[in-house]
Amino acid sequence: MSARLQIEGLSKSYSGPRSAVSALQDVSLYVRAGEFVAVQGPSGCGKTTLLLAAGALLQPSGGRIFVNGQDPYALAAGQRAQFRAANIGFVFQQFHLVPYLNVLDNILASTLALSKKARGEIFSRARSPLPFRRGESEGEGKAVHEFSAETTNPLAPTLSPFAGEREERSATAASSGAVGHADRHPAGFSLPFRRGEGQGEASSGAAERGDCQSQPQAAPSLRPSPPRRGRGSSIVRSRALELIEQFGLTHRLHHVPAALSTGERQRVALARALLNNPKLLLADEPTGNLDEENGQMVLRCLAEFARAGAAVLLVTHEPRAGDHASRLVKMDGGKLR
Amino acid sequence: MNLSRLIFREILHRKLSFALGVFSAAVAVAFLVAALAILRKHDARTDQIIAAKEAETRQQMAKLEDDTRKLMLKMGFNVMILPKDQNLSDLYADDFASKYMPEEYATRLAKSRVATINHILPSLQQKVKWPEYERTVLLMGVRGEVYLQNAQQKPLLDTVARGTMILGHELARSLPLKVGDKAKLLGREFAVARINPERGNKDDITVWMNLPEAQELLDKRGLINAILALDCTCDTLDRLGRIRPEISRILPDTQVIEFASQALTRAEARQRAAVEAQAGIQREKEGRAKLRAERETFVAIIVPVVLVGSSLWIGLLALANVRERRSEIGILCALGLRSRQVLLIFLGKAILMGLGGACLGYAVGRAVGAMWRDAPGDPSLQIALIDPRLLVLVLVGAPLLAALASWLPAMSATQQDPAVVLRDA
Repeated sequence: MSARLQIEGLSKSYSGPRSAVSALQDVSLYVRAGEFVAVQGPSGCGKTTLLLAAGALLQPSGGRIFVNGQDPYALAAGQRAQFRAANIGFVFQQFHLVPYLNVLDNILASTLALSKKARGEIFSRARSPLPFRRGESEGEGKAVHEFSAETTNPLAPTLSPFAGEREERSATAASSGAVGHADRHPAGFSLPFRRGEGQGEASSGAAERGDCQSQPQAAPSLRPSPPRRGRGSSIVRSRALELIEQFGLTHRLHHVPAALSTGERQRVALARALLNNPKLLLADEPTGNLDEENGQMVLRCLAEFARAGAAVLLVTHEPRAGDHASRLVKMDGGKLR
Repeated sequence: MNLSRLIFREILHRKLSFALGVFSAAVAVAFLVAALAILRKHDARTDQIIAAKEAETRQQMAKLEDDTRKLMLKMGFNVMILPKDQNLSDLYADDFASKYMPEEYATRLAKSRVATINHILPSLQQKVKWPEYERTVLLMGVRGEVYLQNAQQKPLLDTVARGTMILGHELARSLPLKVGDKAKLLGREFAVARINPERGNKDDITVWMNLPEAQELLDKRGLINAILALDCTCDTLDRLGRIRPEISRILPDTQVIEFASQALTRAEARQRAAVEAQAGIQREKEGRAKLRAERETFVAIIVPVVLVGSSLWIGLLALANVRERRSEIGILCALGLRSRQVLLIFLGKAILMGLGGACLGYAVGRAVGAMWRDAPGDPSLQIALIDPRLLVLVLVGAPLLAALASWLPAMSATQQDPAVVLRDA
C-alpha cells in the first residue's frame, strides 16, 4: 500500500530569545491511503508543528516530507500552493471560516486556488458514480473496484460507524415506501448525516448536537450521485450543494458563520476541506471547541473519509480519538513514541 | 466562486471601511476636478472679459474717431504749408503769413497723390482794417473746395460762395451782424452766410470769403500764403518727420509746420485713449493672469496635499483591513491561494474604492466648479468645464492611486506566513 504521507527524520526548530527551540526531533511517520492516524500528545509537544509541516505550510529544519509521493518543499512557492490546494485538506479547531461568506461560498472558497486544469482533473473524477477506487488504497496491480449504482459501497456496512444505523434507516425507509438518497459524499464516501437533518435547528441547541440521530427521517438509500454534466463551475457548485445537504446545512445555505452554531461551523469547515476531494486530510484539534456529540460526529466523518480512500492525520489531545483512528501515535517533546 | 465575488462580499461585509475609502478618494478627486474646473472657468471668464473690453474699446475708439473727424471739419487743420522764406516769428506774432506762394502749389500737391496728408485747402490770410466798422479783422480767403485724393474722401469744408462771407462769433456779436445781413468790406458788399460758434481763438474775429474774391480785395491774384492740410495718416506720433520729406520733395520752396489745434489735441487724446484702453486691457489681462497664478499656486499646494492625505488614509484603511483579515488570509493561503491572488484581493478592493471615489469626486468637483463665484450661472462657462479627458484621467488615475496607496499593506498581506497565523489562532 503506497504512503500518502511520508515523513522521514523530520525536525523543526524555532529561534528563541536565547537559543533555538526544538519543536520536532527526528520524526518519521507513514500514513497510507485509507488510513486514519491520530497523533496524541500534550499541549506544546509539537503536534501542530508536525501538522503544518505535513501540510506544506511550514518548512522543516531537517528531514523530508512526501505527500502522494511528491516533496512539496521541492516546489516553488506558487506550485506548492497549487499542490496544497489540489491534494491537502485542512480542518482546524478554530474553523477559520471566512466571516463574510455564506455557507455555500465558504465551502466553494476551497476551489479559489485551483487552476482550471486542477479543477477539471479533480471534478472530472466526480463524473464517475463513485470516484474513490478501492484500488487506490490497495496498491497497484489489484483490480479496481468501483462503487456503482448497482453495488453499494462495500466499505459502508462494515467500516462505517453508522453501519447499523444505516441499516435501520433503510429498513424504516423500506417500510414507509420512501425513496431515499445517498448519505454519501459526492466523492463516494458515506457521511454521518442525513439529508435535511438539522433543518429548523436554531443556531444553538439542537444544532449543537448536530448528528443524524437527533431527527430520524426517511432512510436514504446508498444510491450514488448521478454523473455530473455541465460547465465546471456548475459541477463544483452542485458538488458543494450536495455536501451541504449531506452535512445537514441546506437551511443554512445563505447564512454567514456568525449566524451558525459551533457544530455547524465545524461542519462547514469539514465540507470545505472535503470539496476538493483531497488525498490527505489534516485535522488540528477539530473537536476542541465542540461538545461530545459534535466531536464524535467529526471523528466519525474523518474515519469515514479515510475509509473512502484518503489518508487522514489528526493531531489531538482528545483521548476518544483512538476509538475512531486506525492507528494511534503518541507524541511528546517533539518526538513520536 | 472567484476572487471578484470574494472582493464584493468583503466590501458588503465591511461597508463603512469601504465607504470611508471611497469618500477619501472622492475628496482627492473632487479637489483635483474642482481646482482644474475653477482654473478652466477662470480662463474662460478671462477670455470673456477681455473680449468684452476689446469690443467696448473698439466701439469707443470708433466714436472718438468720428468725433475727431467732425471736430476737424469744424475747427480746421493742423498742418500748414508755408512759403520757405516765411519767418515763423512773424507768423506767430501776426497770426498770418506775410510771404506768398502760387495758388498752383495746392493743385500740384493734390495731383501728386501725396500719401501722408488727407485734405488740402489753400488760403490767403491777412489782417486788415475793416474801415466800414473800424475794426481790425483777419481776412481769410478759402477756395471752398477740397482736393480729393480718392472718391471716398469726405469733404471737410463747405464752399463759401461768391458774394457771401462767414463771420467769427465775436465779430457778429459786436458789430452786430446776423445771418442774411449785408455788410460792406473794403468797398465790396457781402451777405452774411453763416456765423460760426464761439471758438475762443482768432477764428472769432475772422472773416471767411471766397478765395478769388479775397485775392481781388487784397490784390494778390493767383497767390496764397498758406496751405492748410488735415492730419496725416501716419501710424506714428512723429507726423512731421514723415510729412516734411514728402512735401519738400513735391514743393521744394515750402516749409511745413504743425500748429496745435483742438482737433489735434482731440486726435492725440483719442490716440492716448486708445493706448490707455489697450493698457487697460493689458492690465486686466495681467490682473487675471496674476489671479490665475495665485489660484494655480493654491491648487499646486492644496491638491498634492489632499492627494497625499487621501492616499495615506486609503493606505491606513488597507493596513487595518489586512490586520483585520489576518486569519482569513492565513486560511486562504492554507487553501492554496498564491501571493498574487492575495495581492489581487486587496488591490481589487482598492481599485473599486478608487473607481467609486473617481465617479463621486468628479461629480462633486464639477458641481463645485460650476457653482464657483466666477459667473456661476453662465451657461457658456459651464460648457467650458466639460472635459472628457479629465474624466478619463480620474477614472484611470484614482483607482491607480488607490492601488498604489494599498500596495504596501497588500504586499504585507502576501508576506504573512499562514503557518504562524494558523498556529497563533
